Order: sequence, then C-alpha cells, then structure tokens
Amino acid sequence: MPDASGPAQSDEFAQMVDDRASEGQFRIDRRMYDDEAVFEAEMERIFEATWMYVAHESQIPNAGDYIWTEVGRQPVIINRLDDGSVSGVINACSHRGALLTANRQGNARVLVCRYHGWTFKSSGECIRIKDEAAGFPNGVDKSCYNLTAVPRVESYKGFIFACLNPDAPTLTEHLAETLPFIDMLADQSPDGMEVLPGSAAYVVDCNWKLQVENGVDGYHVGVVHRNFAQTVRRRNEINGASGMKLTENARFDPGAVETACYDLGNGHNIIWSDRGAPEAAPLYEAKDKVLPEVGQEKWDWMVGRGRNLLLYPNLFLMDQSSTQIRIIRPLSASSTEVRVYCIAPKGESVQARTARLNKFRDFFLTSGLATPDDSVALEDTQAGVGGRLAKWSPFERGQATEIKGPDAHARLLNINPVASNTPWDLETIFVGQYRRWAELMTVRT
Amino acid sequence: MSRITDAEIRLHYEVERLIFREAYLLDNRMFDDWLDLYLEDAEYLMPAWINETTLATDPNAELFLIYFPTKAGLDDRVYRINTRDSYASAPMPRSAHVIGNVLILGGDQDRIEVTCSWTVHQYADRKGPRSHGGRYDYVLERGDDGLKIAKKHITFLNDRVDIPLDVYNV
Repeated sequence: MPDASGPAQSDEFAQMVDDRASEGQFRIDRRMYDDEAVFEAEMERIFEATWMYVAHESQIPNAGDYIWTEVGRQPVIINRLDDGSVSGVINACSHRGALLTANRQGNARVLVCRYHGWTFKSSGECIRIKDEAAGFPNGVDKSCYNLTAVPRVESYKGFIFACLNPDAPTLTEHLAETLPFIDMLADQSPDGMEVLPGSAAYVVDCNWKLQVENGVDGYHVGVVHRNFAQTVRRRNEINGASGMKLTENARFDPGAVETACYDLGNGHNIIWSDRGAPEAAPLYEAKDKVLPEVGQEKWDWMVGRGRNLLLYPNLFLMDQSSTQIRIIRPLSASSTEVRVYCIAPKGESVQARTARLNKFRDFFLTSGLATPDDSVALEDTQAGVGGRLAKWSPFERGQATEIKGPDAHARLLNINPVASNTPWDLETIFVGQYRRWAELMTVRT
Repeated sequence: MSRITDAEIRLHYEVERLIFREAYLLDNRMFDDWLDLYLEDAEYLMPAWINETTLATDPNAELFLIYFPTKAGLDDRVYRINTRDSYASAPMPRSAHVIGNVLILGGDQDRIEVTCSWTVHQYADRKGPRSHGGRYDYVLERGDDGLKIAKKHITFLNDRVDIPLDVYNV
C-alpha cells in the first residue's frame, strides 16, 4: 500500500484512478486534488504537454498585436505576425530572462527588453544587442540569441491553442469529436465571433480538476443554483419579461426538458439541455442569416439547446443564457484561477448584445448571482478532500443507462462520443475525464 | 482657495451623512433600509477593466462586473441573499466599509456629484481576512425626503479576486 501520509510517488499516479467500470466501480483517490507532487507532474505531463487554449483571434486582429499569457507554468507571448499568421514565443528575454511585455495585451512590432534593451522581431528574431560592438568586437551571430518559439501554435475557427510538446498530434486530431460543437459557437455569425472588451478573473481555493468537473456538472445545477432560478423567475414575473429579456431557466427543473451528456474522448465532454424558450437566446434574431449557412439540424442545436463544452483540460465554451469563454489556470494543487470573457456574434443588434451581457453578468461572474455559489461549494469540497480517511470519490451514477458510442441525437449530427447518457447529470463524462488524466499521467517508457 | 461658506459645510455634512449611512446599513445587513437610500431609477455600475489602465465605460457593449440600470437590480440581490439559500452568502462574511477623501466635485444643492475612496475589510471563516477597495462616484439628488442616490459608480481596483463579490462587500 502507498503511504497515505507522504507525497505521492510518480508510479502511484495512475493507480489514483480505480477504473473497474466493468465491475461497476469507478472511483478516484482524493489525494489527486491536493498533492503537490501530483500537481507538479500534471504541469509537466498535461499542461505543458497537450494543447492549451490561449486566446481568441479577435483579441489580436492586427500585425503586432500580442497577448501575454501562460501555458502551464510558462509565460508566453501569442502574437500576430506581419504575414497575418499567429505565432508564439516564450515571454523571456534570451539574455537574462526578463519578461518582454509591460502589458498583458498590446501592439508591438518589435519586442524591446526593458532590462538591457535587447530587441527582437515579434517572430522572435534577435535584431539588436545593446553595445554589440563593445561586447562582441569580433562579431556575433545574433540568431544564436533568438527568442525560444512556442513549439506549436494552431487555431481552429478563431480559437488559438498552444502546445509546448513538439510531438503532439495536430490540434484538430486533439479536438476530434468536439469540432461540431465548437462550430455551433463559432458559426453564429457570417462575420465571425468577437471577444467583447473587458475580462474578469477569480481565484478559487480548489484544485483545477474540481473546476473542470464543475463546468460540466449538471447534477449541482438544481441544488447550488436553485436560488438563482428562484431569483430570475421572480424577476421575469415582475417585469413580465419576454423575448430576449427573458432569462430562460428550464434546465433547473429536473425532467422539464430533454438533456444529455457525451464523453467526447481525449477528456473532452459536453452536457446539453433543451431550452424551454429558444426565443430568449440572443442568437434567435440571427435565424435568417445563420440558418441558411448551417442547415436546420445544426441551427436547432445552436438556438434550441444550451451547451457546456469542455475542451480538456483548460477551456470551457459555454452557450447557456449567454456565451462565455472560461479559461482554467492552475496556480497550485489547491488554488485555481478562472478567467472569463464574453464572446458574441459580430454584427448582432444592440438589443441582443445588451441581453447577452445582462445574462452574462447574472450567471457567469463572481460578482453575479450564480458563480459565487459554485466557488464556495468548490472550496468546501477542497476542504473536505483533506479528510484523508475518506479516500475515494465515486463516479458511478448512471452506469446502468450509459450508451457506448452515440445516442440518437449524436447520431443525427454524425458525431461519435465514446459514451452517451441521459439525463445530463449522470457521471459518464467524468469517467472520460479521469481516464484521460490517468493516460497522460502515466509515463510511457 | 476661496473662503468656505456655511452652506458648503452643511452640504458636505449632508453628503457624508448619506454615504456613511449606506456603509453602516450594508455592514449591518439592514438591506431594506439600504434600498430606501436609492431612487427608483438609480443606476448602479461596477465596470470590469479592459486593460491595466482602462475601465469599461459602456455596459451594453463591454464587460461590467455589476450593472443595474434601475434599483430593481439591487432588489434582486437583496431577495437572493434573503432566500438564505445562496452557498456563498450563508453564512455571510463580516465586513467593515471605511470611506474617506469625500469630495464634492460639482452640481448644485439639488444634484450633487461626489467622489470618495473606500476599502472593505472582510472576514469569512473559510478564507480569513481580506481587504479590497477603490473609488465611489455618486450622483445624489434631493427629493421630498432629502438626498437620495441617483447613481453609484464603483471603481474596483482588482481585476482578480479570490472572494465572491456582492453589493454588501464592495
């Protein structure tokens, strides 16, 4: 038996997922939520080895536009080059390692280190070494001092991902069965989508995996967000709200609308629920523009179904009452930053934009009516994880109704989930998350 | 500086009394009395930051942390807290608002533009002590029963927080 009191050893990690689904058992060792050795290994083997979402192309539209963010523990600059392509370099001067950007976001055709003045093209090419002749009287090949490139940067329909592992599969191979669901957000305007100005970030004292579970956890919705539903229902009644001003909330009532969840492979998941009032969706007005482009089947999904899409391990694309990009950034084993943006169809009406932002603030911010309740519930869960004698978390609800492969709805879309289940709050999808976790955490020799 | 008149002193005192009273009512969870400080069409805004130096200005095009075009939004918050069913608000953190640097920037006796600085010290059992702060910009209007709040614009200095934010702790 591993010693439960010390830090976990590398060869124990995979055993933390007790995967005996064929015998009806699937559970995980709660040490994976607060063990620092596990966390360090996750940074190396997951966050610095697979594709991480970094930015949306609408945030860097022009040559020289950049965003400074992190991939795993490493600072990176994601920027738009002169030829219009998107690229990335490690945000560290090749000389002493100082950050090369003063701001999180901006425009810089050249990057000038603020410490000793070395200068680089945004592609990373070193073009100036201060007092070069004095330091290198016999000449120097400046290309030896180029910035370190981020090995892989690829974009799918505006969503930019980076990967520090040069040998990773392509982005679309990685995203695989999620692509039709990304399309349902990306294709909401013929003019494309845009990230609206302003973002918010909140730190929750919980492990990142609890955040990742929570974003596709249909089970807590009727409990933790009961008071949200009650508050907006009262408001709808007081205002006599209709159309886009209505906050649709059928999903809070178990059984009121059809729902399902899919394990999409590679740790990716989606949960969806039919909207009780599709006309409340800000997208509803765009029917004449979008339906001819995407066809009836896909339009019905886009406007008729609320969807929480997890692109494992660091991105949620939420299309519920409003539309959200939610980025998960682990800070330590027991602390996680969540940064959120509102994404919207370019060219939507002022009324739709206003309704979208109203509903975004209501649900999706830590200053809103729902997210604070998630955060504190997750912090309570993290605190409970410290109870070492209670070792296991089961993910076993729904085994009897699980469908291997697609259900009827998925089949209509020609997508092939690993497994499907109804209703959306069954735990099939978490099995997909933790099998992926165990796969990535196992060192292949 | 010109000579200070008695009318200015009285107005300044009246303004401070209202702003300090709001803080007192929030810290003591006297929400119904707190709501009475606001006009029915009062605007309440707390913008997000667009970058290191720029705050959002248009709540219908940019991200705001909180935006209520009328007092109904404040009423929703009080209703939700009173359900005693919000995980984040039961139990509520203890809080103390501290307000200073109160300056009347413009207006007249009946419509007054005021700015001030604020901090909130709060304590929650799970999190321990936390402090945060910023600036309030108010527009106060005089009605039949004295000064009331017509607009409150909260500049919140952080763009990353590790506690839930609600009307009672900003």
